[in-house]
Order: sequence, then structure tokens, then C-alpha cells
Amino acid sequence: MTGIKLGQYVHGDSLLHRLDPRTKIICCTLIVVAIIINDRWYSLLFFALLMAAAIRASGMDIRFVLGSLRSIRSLLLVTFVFMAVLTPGQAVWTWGVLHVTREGLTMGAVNLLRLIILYLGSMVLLMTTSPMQLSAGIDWLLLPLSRLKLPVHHFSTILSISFRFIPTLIDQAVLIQDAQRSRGAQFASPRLGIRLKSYLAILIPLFEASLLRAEDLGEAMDSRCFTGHPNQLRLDRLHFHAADGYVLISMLGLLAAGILFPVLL
Amino acid sequence: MLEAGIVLQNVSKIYRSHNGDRCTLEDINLSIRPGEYVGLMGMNGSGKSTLARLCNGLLLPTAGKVYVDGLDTSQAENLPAIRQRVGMVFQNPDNQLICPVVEEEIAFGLENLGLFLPEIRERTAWALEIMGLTGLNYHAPYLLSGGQKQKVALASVLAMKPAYLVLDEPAAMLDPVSRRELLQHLKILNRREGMTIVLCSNEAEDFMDADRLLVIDRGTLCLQGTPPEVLSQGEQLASIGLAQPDFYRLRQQLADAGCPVTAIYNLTDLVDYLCQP
Repeated sequence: MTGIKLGQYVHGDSLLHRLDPRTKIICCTLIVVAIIINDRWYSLLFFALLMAAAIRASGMDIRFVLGSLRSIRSLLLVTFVFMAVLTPGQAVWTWGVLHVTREGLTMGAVNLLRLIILYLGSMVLLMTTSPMQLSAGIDWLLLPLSRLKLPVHHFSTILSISFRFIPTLIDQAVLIQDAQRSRGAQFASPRLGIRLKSYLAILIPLFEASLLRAEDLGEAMDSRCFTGHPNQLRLDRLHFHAADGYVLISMLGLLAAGILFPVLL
Repeated sequence: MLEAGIVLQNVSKIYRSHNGDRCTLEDINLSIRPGEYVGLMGMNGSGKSTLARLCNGLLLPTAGKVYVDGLDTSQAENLPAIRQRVGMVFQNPDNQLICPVVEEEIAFGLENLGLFLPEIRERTAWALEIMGLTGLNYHAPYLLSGGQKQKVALASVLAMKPAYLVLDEPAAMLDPVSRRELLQHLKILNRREGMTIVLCSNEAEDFMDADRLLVIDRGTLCLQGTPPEVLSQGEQLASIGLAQPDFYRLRQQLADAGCPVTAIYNLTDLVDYLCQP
């Protein structure tokens, strides 16, 4: 399956790679908050540039990452068009009952930027943090919720099983695809209907195989006394350094500025 | 106080389904003593996987009782203690590895047992070493070979220090080299660490190191004895669809040709015997 390399951890030794996963997760969350409460295009542009800088700093190929935006182009396009047409305001262009408004264009651009920032942010997080570190970070950040008697450890087990099984399921999907192709499935057919039907022929066996896998996995977990436990070995890998502190403080500063700035204007 | 070991008393297992009940095991009486290496041979669908799963309470008998060191598997409160004692290794290595990293995989059971970090570390290192996996701590299981995956699965069970190790066709998906390695590990675990081993397989060749070999056919134990005793009975094995190992076939043919070899149970000895001047 093509495109799976995108968003997968790339080993490296940049500052971003060395940051504690908790710092990166918190920063990403702060950025999400910042871009949701802020709808000025220039502050969003600032965050987009910040993301681009982060990608550069992490040593990733910025053209590759920006080029990968193509994979979400239909989402971007649909968002922009809907915003442009459905926002009421001063019409700049009319076609039948549809009015493209000035406000709509602005809102479209703003939401386009938001999506791009979200996309780039998650790429930075995923491509500089190994699944091992990511799950440790998530585990730690969820810990406080266990005080509310929420099954936090079950949640982190579910997450860690998904990390573990993504490559296995992709392998299986490729295998099933080959099997179906050898029986005449046409994945490259120019006719959409045939293509869809061919992909359905992957989905159903894949789903069934996953259920069988889940059954086996359940037995293996039961055999090893699964209770839903704190993952001590995993949490012990987390180390908070001075750099993490600086990054977090700067991020909080930016968020504060992002909240205050529109008020000041 | 019941005897130590895994004891099955008049055990039957019936699977109920909409198109009728299917009896998988019928009135099995079996006792596996501590330190024993027991082989369980049978065709696919003979009931050996069901029997294996009864040993640690993954399945409960429809009739009869299963005891592990005197603990009844039908009492839910006994299950954690039973599962700590009886480690299970399954057929498909891909479907029994739970964690994204080898080290966490091995620690999984230990964390469930509520051990503290220093002990978890110590046991993880020990299990990795004993299975020859040292240095693979941070590897992703899916990048390992089938044989290595199965070793990780075995290591993660060994780390829990079970007294009994039940393996359900552990070598079925392995290449010949990995299969031999795995069997070698089992032999060492049994002889050196004194671990009780119950090995299920449909390959007669897998049982050369076993102390006792049981043959199961359509839910009943039909043959029992030392591997040479059982594996010499070629006709009876063939009648239930099992193949005799090559060595025993050769012995049989030599005997039929009027050249019986007795008290020789491996290929090297046979070659020595035949080649003596």
C-alpha cells in the first residue's frame, strides 16, 4: 500500500526528536487550541510558518511533507468551497442560487490554514516520535484520569495494540489484495463501480481475519493474566529535560499572545 | 490436598452450536507430573488444542474437573494463580504478540502480575538472554522473523516463571531451522530448569525429547507410552492419520526384512550399529 511511509516515524537526532513525547503532545494540543480560538489569517499564517520551521528543524524533507498535502487536497478543496458558498455576507460572485461572499472567502482561507496547520502539526509529532515514545507519552498524560475511575490502562492497551497491529494488518491487506487480483479482481479498472467492488473484496476478508486475530489475541492476553495495568517499564522511559521546559514555556507564551492579540487590536 | 501437577478427572468438552452439539473431548483422565515432558499428538481437530486450553482455564470442561497443583480451574478466583503457573504458547506468533516493542511484550505479563520495576527489568533481561534475544529490546515484533517472533512469545511466557509450559503447535508456522531451535530450547528448559512441558503437535518428529507421548484421536486418548513405544506402532498411527517418523519407518522395514534392531532409538546409534564390522 503506497503512502504508508507518510506519518511514520523517521529516526533522527534533532532537537524535536530528543524532546520528551509529553512536551510534543502538549504543544500540539496547545496549537490546536490556539488555532481554534484565533481566526485572524495573519496569526494562523504565523502558526503555519512555525510548523514549517519545526519540520525544517526536525531534519525532514520539507518538500516531501508539503507535497504530501496532496493526499488531503479534496478535503481542503471541499472545506474551502463550502465555506466560500455557505457563509452569508457581501456577494462577490453569483451563479444561480449560489453566492460566493467576501466573508466566505476569508472564512474559507482561515479554515484552509487551520487544516494545513493541523496536518503539519500531526506530521511533526508522528514523524519525530517513535510509537514506543508516543504510547509512553499518552499513557503518562492519561494517568490523572484514572483518579476519576476511568479505565485508562485499558485505553492505553487498546492504543498500543493498534500501534502493534497496523503494519500486520497492512501486510494482510496486501496479501488479500494479491489473492483477489489473482482471482480476477480489477483494482485498476477505469470503472468506479468495478473498482469499488474489488476493494470490497479486500475489506470483508480483512475484517473477518481481524476478528479471528482478535480472538487469538484475547486468549494470549488472558493467558498472561491481563488486568489492565500501569505500564511501568514504558513510563520509565520518559525523561523531562530543560529543553522541554523552554519549549513548553514558549508555547504557553505563544498561546497567551494568541489569545490576547485579537483583543488588543 | 490434591496432588501436584495438572490433573484432568473425567473431563469432557462439548461445543454447543445451532447445528448440533459436538463432543471434542470425551472422558479424559490424565495426570501430568511436575518436571515431566509430555507430548500430545493428534490430527487437526482431534481435540488437542481444546485439551491444552483446559489446562490454564481458557476453556472450562463441560463435565469433570481440571486441577492445577490442586487448584480447580472452574473457580474464577483461582484463575490468576493458575495462569501464572501454566504458561501458554500458541500457534500463530503474529496473533499472540500484544505490544509494539519486544521489551514491553516480555514485560506485559509481569506488569499484570503487579511486580515492581526492578524485578520486571531483571526478569525481562533474563528471558531475553535465555532465548538468545538480547539486544532486540526495542525492536518492533512485526519486523522479526517467524522464528524470532515465536521466541519472543516463549520468552514473554517464561518471564512469568511458570511451572508448566503448554505449547499448542508452536512450530507449525516455523521453518525447519527455527523448529529445531525451538525444540532445543524446550529440551533445555525441561532438563536444566526443571520446567514441566506439554507440547501439542501433529508432527511425530517433534516428540523425540519427550518423556511420555499421548496420542489423541477424536477426543479420546488412544495410545500412551514413551515416544519409542508409541512411535513404533506404525499401523495404529497410520489408522488415525498420523505419520511415523522416518527413523521408526526404517526400523520397521529393517525388522520386516529380518534384521530387527532393538534398543536403538536414534539415527546415530542406528548408523553405528549397521556399520559395525
